[in-house]
Amino acid sequence: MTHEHDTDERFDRWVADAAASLHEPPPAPRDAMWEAIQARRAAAATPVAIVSTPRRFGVRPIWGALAATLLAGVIIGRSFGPTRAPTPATPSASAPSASVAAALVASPVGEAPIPSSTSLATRRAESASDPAFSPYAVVTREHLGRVDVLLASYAADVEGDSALRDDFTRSARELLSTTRLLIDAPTGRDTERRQLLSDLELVLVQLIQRSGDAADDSAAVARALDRTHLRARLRSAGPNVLARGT
Amino acid sequence: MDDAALIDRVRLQDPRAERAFYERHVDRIHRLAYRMTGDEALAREYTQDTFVRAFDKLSEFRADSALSTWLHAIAVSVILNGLRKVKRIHGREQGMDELPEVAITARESEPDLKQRMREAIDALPDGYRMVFVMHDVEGFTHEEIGSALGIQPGTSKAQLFRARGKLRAALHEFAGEWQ
Repeated sequence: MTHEHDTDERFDRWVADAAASLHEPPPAPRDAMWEAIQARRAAAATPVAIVSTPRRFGVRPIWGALAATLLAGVIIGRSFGPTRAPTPATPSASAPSASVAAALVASPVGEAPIPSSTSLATRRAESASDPAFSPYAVVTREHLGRVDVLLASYAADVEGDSALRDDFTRSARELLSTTRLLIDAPTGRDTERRQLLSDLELVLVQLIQRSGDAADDSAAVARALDRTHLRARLRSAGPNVLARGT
Repeated sequence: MDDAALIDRVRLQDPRAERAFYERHVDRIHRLAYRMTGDEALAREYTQDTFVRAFDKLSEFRADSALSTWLHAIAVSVILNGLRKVKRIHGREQGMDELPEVAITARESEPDLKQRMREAIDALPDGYRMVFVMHDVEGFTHEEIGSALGIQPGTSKAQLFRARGKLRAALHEFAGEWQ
């Protein structure tokens, strides 16, 4: 027994020593990597600056035109439909790309037209003055609700059914796109909300990338969910969190 | 300058502090990325990804762990996610071309034992391999590995134990060459 243990220890040392000579790293190309890092940081910062300028529709004509059209639909719906309290919307499987686009391009407050009705105008003004009713906050709230439903279905174990898993992965991809849009939106500056969305992004990527029967992948997802307390944070992300920074 | 002071200055977007932060940690991150990938281009890409993310998230660093631990957690996430993508792409490519040219070259130029060891290490599941490389090759403690991987130190030990067991099984026929 002791001999076997000693043998294992010597073997482990031998493997570790030999492994150190495998994939022996060359010197890090510090300057080249630093330049690349700086270039990527600058590139990442640029779209935010462009979108936040008044000329954004000119810079991104297709995005702007699409958003303007969608925004009109949103405004019509909000002006002539009943005023709703900001309760979480019922989640659906597909991502609300249209409303997301509108919310991200629209100014959070103050750019919507005033309805002709006085009562509507009053309600509209009240809503506009409350960041919790901003398009960004509303879309984010709906988005988080959908993600919560998705994670609940994952917890309910979709792994056994391949068709269900495909649907699940497709929904996760759509939600991932929306999550990235919300993170990149110039209106979404709040640190806590960005952290929530970033953690969400990580878990969605893990869910999308997991193999069908890889226990390691499922364990990684479970670990990420556990470490980030994501589901509890999704449910506790109230209007205050969603309104900040818009 | 200690980590706390450096972070304060980085948060103020002081370019010199940003470069100092990078210089302080880049070698270790690059070494880990290279050890895990064995590929210069991937190691550079993952190192760059790590620092881009770190600069982006530095405002969220709460100092409840060492800065290097926090940075390595980002690096581990970047590397493991990156390797998954590479494996998926590699799997598709292998479907078209049974044996990659690079593997043929390596097989011809290296002794059998060394090649088998490389293959055995590369064949470890990514999680096990990360623990093995971090602990046995790069000298991280189980506490550091646990923090970086988001697991308990005991889990790190267990994974290292299993990794070594798999290596022993894969290389048992070479027993006479190392005893």
